[in-house]
Amino acid sequence: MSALLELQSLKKLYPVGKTGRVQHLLHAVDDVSLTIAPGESVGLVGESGCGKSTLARLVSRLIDPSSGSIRYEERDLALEPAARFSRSPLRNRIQMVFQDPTDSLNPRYTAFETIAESVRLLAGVRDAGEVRSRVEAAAAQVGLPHELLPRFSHQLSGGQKARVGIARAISVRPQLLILDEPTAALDVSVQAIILHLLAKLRAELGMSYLFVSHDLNIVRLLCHRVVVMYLGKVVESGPVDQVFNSPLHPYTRALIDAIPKGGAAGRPKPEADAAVATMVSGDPMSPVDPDPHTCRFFGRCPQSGGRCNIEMPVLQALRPGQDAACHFPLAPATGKV
Amino acid sequence: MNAQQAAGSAVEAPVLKVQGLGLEFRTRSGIVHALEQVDFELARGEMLGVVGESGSGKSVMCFSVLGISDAAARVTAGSAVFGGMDLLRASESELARVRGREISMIFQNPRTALNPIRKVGRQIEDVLRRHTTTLADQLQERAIAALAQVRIPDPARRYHAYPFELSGGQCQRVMIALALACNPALLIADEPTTGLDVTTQAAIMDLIAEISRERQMATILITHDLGLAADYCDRIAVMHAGHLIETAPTAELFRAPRHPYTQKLISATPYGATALEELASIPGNLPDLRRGDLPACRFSERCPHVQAACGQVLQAVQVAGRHTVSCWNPQ
Repeated sequence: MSALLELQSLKKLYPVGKTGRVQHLLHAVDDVSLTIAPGESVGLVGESGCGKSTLARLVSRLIDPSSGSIRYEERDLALEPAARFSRSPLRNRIQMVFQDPTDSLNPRYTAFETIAESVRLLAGVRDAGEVRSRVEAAAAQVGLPHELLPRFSHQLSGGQKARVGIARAISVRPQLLILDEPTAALDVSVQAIILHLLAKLRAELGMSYLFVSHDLNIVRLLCHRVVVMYLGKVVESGPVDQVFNSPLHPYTRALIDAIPKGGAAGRPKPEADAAVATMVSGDPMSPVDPDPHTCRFFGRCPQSGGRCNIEMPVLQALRPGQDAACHFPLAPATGKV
Repeated sequence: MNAQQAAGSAVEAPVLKVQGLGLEFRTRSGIVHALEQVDFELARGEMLGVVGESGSGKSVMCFSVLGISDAAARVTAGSAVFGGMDLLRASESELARVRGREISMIFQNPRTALNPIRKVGRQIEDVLRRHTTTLADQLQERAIAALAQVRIPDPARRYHAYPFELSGGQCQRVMIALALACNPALLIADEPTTGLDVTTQAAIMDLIAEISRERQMATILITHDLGLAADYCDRIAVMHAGHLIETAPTAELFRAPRHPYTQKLISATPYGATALEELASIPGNLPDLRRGDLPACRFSERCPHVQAACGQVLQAVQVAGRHTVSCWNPQ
C-alpha cells in the first residue's frame, strides 16, 4: 500500500534571540520522518512541548517547515508557502480539528455558517441550495441535530461544539484529518461519544487520521499505529498494541507507567510503580540549541550509559514494524505494562 | 480546640462532617440549584476522591466549606462541622483563622493561583507570617525548607524565582508547599494535575499522597478523572448534577457500583477498556439546574432503569459497610 502522506526529515526551528552573533534556535520539530497509509489512523503522543502540535500544524500546512519534505500523493507540499497553500486545490484534502472546541469556533458565526464557510471557500460550492444540503449532510454525519444549526457557539454544549468542529472539517471530504487533542476539553461521557463518532466516520468515509494526544489510553483505542515524540524527535513508533505491551524506549515505558491504572487495579499504586514515576520526575532539557550528539532523554533516563551523551541514537527498526531511537532498548520482559 | 486535637481525642471523630448541604446561586436567569442534600465525612489520614463531570458541583461543594463561594451563592441548608465549628455558620474572621492554617486548598491552575509578581519564596513567607509565630529571621529558612519538602531542586535558588520562571509541575509543587506550610488537618486539592503531563501528574500525585500519609492529613481530591481517583483515594464520592449519588471504598466502588450513573461513568473511562466498543457513552446531558421542576433524582431523565418510584424524594441508603447510594432502584 503506497503512503498517503510521507514526511521526510521534517524540521521546524524557531529563532529565539542571539548571543553576540550566534543565533539561538528552538528545535520544535527536529528531523521527523513518518508515513500515513490511506485509511490508517496514526496516534502522535508526547508531553507538552515535545513538538506534537507543531508537527500537526506543519502537516496541515498552517506553518512552513524549516527544511524537509511533506509528500502527499507524489507532490511535495513543503515547497508551497503556507499562505499560498490556503488557496491550493489540495487544501480541502487535509483538514484539521482543533483542540478547544470553544476557541476554535467563530463566536459570531452560527453553527451553520461555520460549516458553510468551509463548504463555500474550500469545496468551491456557490449554489446556496447545495451549500445548505452539504452542511446538513455533514451535520447529520456527526449527529448534530438540524435545529441546532442556527445557534451560535455559546448556545451549544461542549460536545455539540466538538461536533461542529468535526463537521466543518469533514464537510469538504478530506482524505486526511488531523485531530489535535479533540477530546481534551470534554468530560469522559462526552469524550466516549466523540471517540465513537470518530471511529465511525473513519470507517464510513475511509479517511486517514493523524491523532495528536497526550492521552495514551485514547490513542490505544482509536489508532492502528502510534508515534512517540520527545523534545522534537520521534523516539519510538510501531503498532499500538505492540508499543503498549512491550515498549522499546525507556521514555515510552515511563509514559505508559504514568497512566493512572484506574478501575483495572482499583488500588493505590504499589511502591514499584511509584519508583518508576519518580524516575522521570525531572524536567526535559532545553529545546534551545540542544547538543546534537546527546540523546534528548539523557539525564532523565534510568538506562543512561556511556554512549548516550556522545552519540545521538538513530531511529531504527529493532523489531518487525517497531522502531526506536535508543542505545539501550528495553528487553521485552521489562517492557510489560 | 483545633481539629487535630479533636481527631486525636476520639478515634472515630471525623475531621470534617458535612450534612444536608444545600446551596443555590441567584443569577439573572433564575436560581441555580447547585447542591442539594450533600452528606459526607472524612476521617483523619483518609483521602476522599470527589468525582463528577463538569457542572456536577464538586468544586462548589468545597468552596462552600471554605466559605469562598461566589457572591451570588447562598447556603440554603446543612452543616459542615470541622473541629467543633460549623464552617457554614462561622463568621468571616473565624474562617480566616482556619483557612490556610487548618484547612488548605490546592487550586486547579497553579499559574493563576500564584501571585505572578511576587517571588515564590516570599509567597510562602506570607502564609507563615499570617498564620504562625515564626520569627522574622527564620522565615526565609522555613520557606526554603518548605520548597525542599516538595522536592523542588535547588530550593535556595528557586526561592527567588517568579512563577513564570518555573514549569507547570514546579508551580504546582510551590502551590503544595504553600498549602502545607502550616501543617493543615485537611487539604482540599481541586483538580491538582489538570493541564499537567501524565509523568508530571504521577509525580505530583505521589507527592500529595506521600505527604498526606506522613502527616495523617485528611485529603479531598476533586477530579473528573475516575482513574486517577482510583489510584490514590481510599474512598470515592460520585457527584451528579449537585447530588452526591454514591460513596464507597475505592475497590468496592469499582467492583460493585450500585448507581446506574456510577456504572456508566466507570465504563466510559478508557482505562480498563481494551477496545473502543467497550467504551460506553452516557446519553443526554446534565439537567438544567435552573429548572423549577427538577426531578427528585436528577439522573432519572437519563437513566435506563427509571421506574415510578424515582419521582419520590431521595434518601441515601447504606448498601454495605461504608457504601451508600442515593437511588430508588440500585443495580
